[in-house]
Amino acid sequence: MRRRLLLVEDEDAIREIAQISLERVGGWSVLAVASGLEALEVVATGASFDAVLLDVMMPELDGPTTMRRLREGSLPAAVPVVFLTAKLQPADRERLHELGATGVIAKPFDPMSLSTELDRILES
Amino acid sequence: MTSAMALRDRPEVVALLALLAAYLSWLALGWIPGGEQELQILFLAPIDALVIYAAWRASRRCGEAPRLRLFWMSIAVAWTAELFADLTLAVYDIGLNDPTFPSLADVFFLAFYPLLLVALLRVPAAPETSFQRLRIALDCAAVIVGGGAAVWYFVLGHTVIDGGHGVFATSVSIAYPIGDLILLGALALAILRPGPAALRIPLRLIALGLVTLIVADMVYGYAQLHGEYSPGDPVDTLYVLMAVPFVLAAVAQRRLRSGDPEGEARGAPAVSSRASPLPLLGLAIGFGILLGTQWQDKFFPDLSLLFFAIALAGLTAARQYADQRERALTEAALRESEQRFRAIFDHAGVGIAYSAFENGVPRIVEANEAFSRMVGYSRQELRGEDFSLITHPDDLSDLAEMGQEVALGQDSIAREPRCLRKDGSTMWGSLTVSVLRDEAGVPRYAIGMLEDITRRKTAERVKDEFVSMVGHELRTPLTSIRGSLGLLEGGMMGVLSEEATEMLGTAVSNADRLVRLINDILDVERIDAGRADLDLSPVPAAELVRQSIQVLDAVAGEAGVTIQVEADGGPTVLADEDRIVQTLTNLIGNAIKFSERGGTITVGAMPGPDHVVFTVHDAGRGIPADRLESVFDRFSQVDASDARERGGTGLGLAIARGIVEQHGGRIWAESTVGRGATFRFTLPISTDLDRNGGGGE
Repeated sequence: MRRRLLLVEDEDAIREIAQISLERVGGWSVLAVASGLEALEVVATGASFDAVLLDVMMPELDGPTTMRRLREGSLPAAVPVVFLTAKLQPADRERLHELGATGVIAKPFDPMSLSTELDRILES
Repeated sequence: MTSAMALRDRPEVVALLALLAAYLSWLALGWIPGGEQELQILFLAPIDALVIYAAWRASRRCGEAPRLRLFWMSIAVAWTAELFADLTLAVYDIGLNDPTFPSLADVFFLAFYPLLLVALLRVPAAPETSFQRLRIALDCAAVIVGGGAAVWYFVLGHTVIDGGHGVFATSVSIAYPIGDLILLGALALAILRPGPAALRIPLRLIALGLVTLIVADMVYGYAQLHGEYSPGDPVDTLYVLMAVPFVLAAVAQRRLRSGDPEGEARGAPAVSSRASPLPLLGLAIGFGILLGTQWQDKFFPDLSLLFFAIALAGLTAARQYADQRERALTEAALRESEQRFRAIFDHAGVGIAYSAFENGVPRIVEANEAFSRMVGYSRQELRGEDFSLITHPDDLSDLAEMGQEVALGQDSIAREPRCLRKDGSTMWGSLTVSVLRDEAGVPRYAIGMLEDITRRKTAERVKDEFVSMVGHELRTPLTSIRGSLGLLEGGMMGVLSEEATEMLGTAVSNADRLVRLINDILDVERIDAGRADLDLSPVPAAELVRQSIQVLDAVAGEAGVTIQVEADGGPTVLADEDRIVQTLTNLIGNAIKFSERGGTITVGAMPGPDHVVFTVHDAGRGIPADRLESVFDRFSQVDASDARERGGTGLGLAIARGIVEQHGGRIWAESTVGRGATFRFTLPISTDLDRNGGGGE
């Protein structure tokens, strides 16, 4: 049974690269959506995931808001949420951790080691 | 001087008491009719010797204040003349039974005056202002004229007017009162000038002795002139008693250590806050004598005393005028200074609030126009308020911290709290408070200076946002580029030719370099702007070394470089762990880049007295001496081709320097060309205080 991941990323190219990387290198089953609202819809349908990978900067619903709304909805608290962000200042990372993120992965990432990095975060 | 200890310290006091007791009991017996009154003279020599001894001991106690030591030596010398005079007199009176006047004794008696004058003129004085000097001169003149009036009335006038005593005898008898007057003037000068505090009491006691001497001289002179003096006359008692204050003055001289402020002449306050009573006293004496002549004109029929009265009145008027003039000038200077500061206060662009502490809280006494304009309250409304009125509720903690710093003794404190205007709007303020304390160190007044730094703060925020945005906007397309290239190179899109894979490898490594460059530029910007807040905590130095090596272990392995560790596990530094690991990885990364395959890098951490020295040494090509400083500049690489070949950004060392300096450390490079380079930096050793009190910035 392949692990299921919900990927939320508004940039088409990055979404595609991350999906390919995670599926082909990491062996994940990835459901990729382009916005926070779509993510909420997907979760609302009752789909279950082993992890969520969320972009931070997105129009309309940004990453942290999406996480809050997902948690308020039907996403179980046990499901880890990892952020993808191009903002690398320590303060930004700290804020995400305070909001309840399981981990943060920096952009740009190396597609060949993205899944390794994700696994490391999920295991810790 | 009351304790037994002090008495043992001052044997002259015991001797004085014994001598006085003997003298007084002899007096009591001597006044029995038929007593040998002239033997009174026998007491003079021992008490003279006692003064000499006491003054000599006082000079010894001033051994480390040379001018005071000379003063007391001179007193001892003057009294030696007095001792010889009294001994000679005893020989004449008792030995030869020939009370001649003048005699050899008078030579010694008269020598006493210039010698004592020398002593009084030796009293050191601090420099005076011209008004002080004028005041002192007028006061001395008043003392001399007042004393002169008395001397003229009782002795001199008669000698000069009555005549008939022979020129030589007249001159000698005149010399005593004139000598007295000169001494009186010199003594007034010594007392009135700003002299050493240690001489205050001794000089006043000496004044008492001198006044006794003057009275004695007048009575003696009068008696001699009228042929009424004979040895054992009651006036001799005054000559014995005049020595007592001199002994006490010498006893009162306390021991002075080298550099004792009491031994130095201190400047007196420039402005006399109250008029000296001396001129008035002189005037009273003058008029008193004038009235006396009217009442007893048969005793002194001459009007010459009028001259003294007029002189005293003139001196008093001059003194009053000088005082008034000085006060007027001082007040004018104060007023001008007040006006200058008032103008600065009123027209300053900076908000200034002058506050007085009430129960430890500064309450505004007066705020200037700029202050009132900044915070939107009128100057009237601000009066009596404390700063919490104008501080944003979220930043009240800044005020509390400032209060604590004042309590800890800080006198100048600065914060950047948000201010709350009367209309409810917010302003970023830069508040600097200077505290004025009383002598006990209790804060009395505070001068608060407020600047509106909203524009600066806004600009900083805009810049921060811009920099952060630029970082994000550059990284987003790079993520796509790096991702696509990575997938291609990794063979996820199908197998490529070897050449194509190699080409993609170049593209990937350059994309990575671009990412590092962006990260470094943003880092440098933040460190330079001082906005990279440190998260300080005590960390074992060896732990920092271990973490840094772990980061670069793989890179070193690839480059075929061995990393050797020389870290003493002991010392703990106060550092931002992430930042120092970043610094060490920068330095170690550089060392790897510049090492030959098969080379060795040494990384160490050695404790110093109050800091730890971190060392990264490589055996590479080294750095020329003229570049050892500039390698820490931005984009400064020893060889222009390094950036391309070694994949560096040219910012690593600039960042390292920024981080180390922000920690309060120092970073430098040492090298011998061809034999490698050593980079060293220091970090402060963490103390127990850091551990207990936490180490936030």
